[in-house]
Amino acid sequence: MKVLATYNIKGGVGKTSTAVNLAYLAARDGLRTLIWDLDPQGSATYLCRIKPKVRGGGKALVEGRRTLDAAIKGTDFDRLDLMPADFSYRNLDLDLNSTKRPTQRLHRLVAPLEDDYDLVILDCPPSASLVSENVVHTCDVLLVPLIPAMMSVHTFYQLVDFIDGMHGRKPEVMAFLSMVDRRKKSHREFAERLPLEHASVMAEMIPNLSVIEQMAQRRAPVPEFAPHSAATTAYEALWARLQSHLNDKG
Amino acid sequence: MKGSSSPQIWVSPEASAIPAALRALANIGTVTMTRPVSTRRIWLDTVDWRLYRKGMALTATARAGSDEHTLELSTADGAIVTAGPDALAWPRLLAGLPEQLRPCLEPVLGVRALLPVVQTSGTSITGRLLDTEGKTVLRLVHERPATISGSRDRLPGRLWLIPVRGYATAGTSAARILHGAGLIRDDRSGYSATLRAAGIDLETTPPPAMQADLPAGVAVARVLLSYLDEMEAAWEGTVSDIDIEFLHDLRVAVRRSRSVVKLLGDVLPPALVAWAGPQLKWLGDLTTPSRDLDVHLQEIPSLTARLTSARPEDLEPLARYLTGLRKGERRTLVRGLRSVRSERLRAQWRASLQDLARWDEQPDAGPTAAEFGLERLARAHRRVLRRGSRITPASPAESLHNLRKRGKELRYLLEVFTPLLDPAEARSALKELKTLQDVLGTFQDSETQREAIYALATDMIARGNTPARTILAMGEMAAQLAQDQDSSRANFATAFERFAQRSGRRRTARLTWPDLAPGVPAAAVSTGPAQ
Repeated sequence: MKVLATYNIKGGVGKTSTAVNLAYLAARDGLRTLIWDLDPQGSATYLCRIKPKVRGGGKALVEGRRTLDAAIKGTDFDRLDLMPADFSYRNLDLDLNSTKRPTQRLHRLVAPLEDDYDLVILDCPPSASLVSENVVHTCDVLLVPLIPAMMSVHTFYQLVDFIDGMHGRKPEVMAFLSMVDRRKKSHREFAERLPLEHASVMAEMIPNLSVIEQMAQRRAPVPEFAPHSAATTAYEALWARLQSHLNDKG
Repeated sequence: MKGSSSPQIWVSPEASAIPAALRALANIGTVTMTRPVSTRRIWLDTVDWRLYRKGMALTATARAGSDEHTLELSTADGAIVTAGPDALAWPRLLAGLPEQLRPCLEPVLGVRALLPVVQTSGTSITGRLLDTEGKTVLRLVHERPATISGSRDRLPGRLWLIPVRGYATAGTSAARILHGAGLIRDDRSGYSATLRAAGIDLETTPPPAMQADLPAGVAVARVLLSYLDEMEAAWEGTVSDIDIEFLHDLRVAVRRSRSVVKLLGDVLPPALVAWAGPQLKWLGDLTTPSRDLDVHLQEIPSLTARLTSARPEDLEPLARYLTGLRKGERRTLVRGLRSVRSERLRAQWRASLQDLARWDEQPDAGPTAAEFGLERLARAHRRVLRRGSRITPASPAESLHNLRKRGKELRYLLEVFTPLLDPAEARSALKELKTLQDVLGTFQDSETQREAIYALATDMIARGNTPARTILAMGEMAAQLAQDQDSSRANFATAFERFAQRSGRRRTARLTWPDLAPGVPAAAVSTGPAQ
């Protein structure tokens, strides 16, 4: 089982749409896939038409009174399940802080799913918090969507430095440009320069297309309702790169 | 993935019942169905129905016009494992199956191959039950009545309810509605219903060939006919090399036949016995070299795992050499099995036995099977006890090998006469004997294998291109086999004493060994003179 997390301190950069579309493509390729919607806003849960409710809330999970297994829901798609968001996740930092080894709780919750899933995708809330630290300790690959702006890139460097300085098990950081508008010169420059300057930034990028925004109206992944769109092609290319990378990691 | 398994299958003899039930499901949600798709489905199992017996089912389903199949394995605990697309031909051994299926199938299949057992074609429609959010809470598959290849019967239509994880309530409500609509719940996979519709009945046990009140000659002929049926059933699979068990089954049927002819043949016409003995020996001898090589190749992994100084890859040249020899021996075997001689043997043997197996209940047809069989059983038992009690630590290996042969004969007789015996007693008697035979088997097999390794090493050295490491690894294997033989020899005295005590107690208490089945007259049984 591999664990991949879509993460960025900033909100609105395409974390959830990336998590949902990649999970859909992984399941379509035959992987038993789970998305865990860790964001109390519950966007991934909404997109999958599932009620954002977990019995006992985040507290029951981190305290070990409930397991993920009991709360996971099947989606409309074969091999794709979702661990729903719950509004109580807004207090997850506090809940985690009151446990022993608070940075390892998420890892402990995910580990028993080893035999059930080939891929777990954590859709993270936009913050730098104890939850994020847990995510970093849990995942094999931290997937960072970057909008083509200097501040976004600067924050990414900070994240890379933070992970480099971590002790113990570290995820691999992989970034890609998200919401790229080819009509803008600055976006084109970022798209050309960044993958060349940083090995951890992939050449595959996700364009800023209205079909991606339509996910909220359709409540479905893009490849499901627009299989021939440019957005689908972009997500497929990103998934192909990640899949090959995950396979190489063994 | 948990929770998404345990589908339910619902059926009805009425063709209109499933569409009506689907309409009724609209009371608890929105039902959406796709267009009908033509499908072809192959049901797979081993020749001895291992999947069926374990409550499993495996299908390969393809859309009409496509060679790409989706494999679906239904396990005994209700889980479903899917794999595909798959376009390879059948039959197939475990190694040729998709990786996802292997963990569930390995303990069931062993070395047996999967073969198509039933093929159906029909149309199916997939659908969903949606809640108020438009979320799928239950998957539906409506399979319309399907035609069965080679049969006039049709497989009745079926409705699958496939639960979605976390939405168990929807499945329960739907099941209630289907029940109310007159549908009946079928088993998990629908495999039993498919076999029934295809005219394959695996639940009814045929009456045993051996019946207590039959004249002995008739009963023995019927037993031999049943063994001939077993030989015939394994014949083509052996010729085609579907899996190595076909040859094993063929050999077992031949060996049993030879034992019955030898031990019970005095109730058959002497001329037939004089003809059948050498013919069956020829058939048995024809199969020996191929079977020996199958066993050597099969044992290599376990022998390799025990090597301490040699590396597993050191034995690869040996495996290649054995595979080459097997190819040559199989050519001889297939030639023999397809020869005029073997064809005549089977035809003549069957015609003679069929003649002898007929009985129109005329009186004075000689001793009954019970009288005759139990006397022979007691005699064979005494023979094992007598031979075994003569074996001392100084006895040559040959005396243990001979005892093993007598033990095999006793086992075959026990199997022949099982219908005349109390089932529990027969099971205990076989178990006691098996414990002894296991020790004798290890003793003899270790010696045979060791000698085979020496012979192979000699040949391989003579060929001149075998690495020294391979020869040394084979030496280590031979040394381990010698240890096995020594330890089984050391265990023999205890194993035999236990067998003699337990089986002897049974005999002295009840005159016969083992006890009779209820209804078989014990007074009619003569233990006969020692032989």
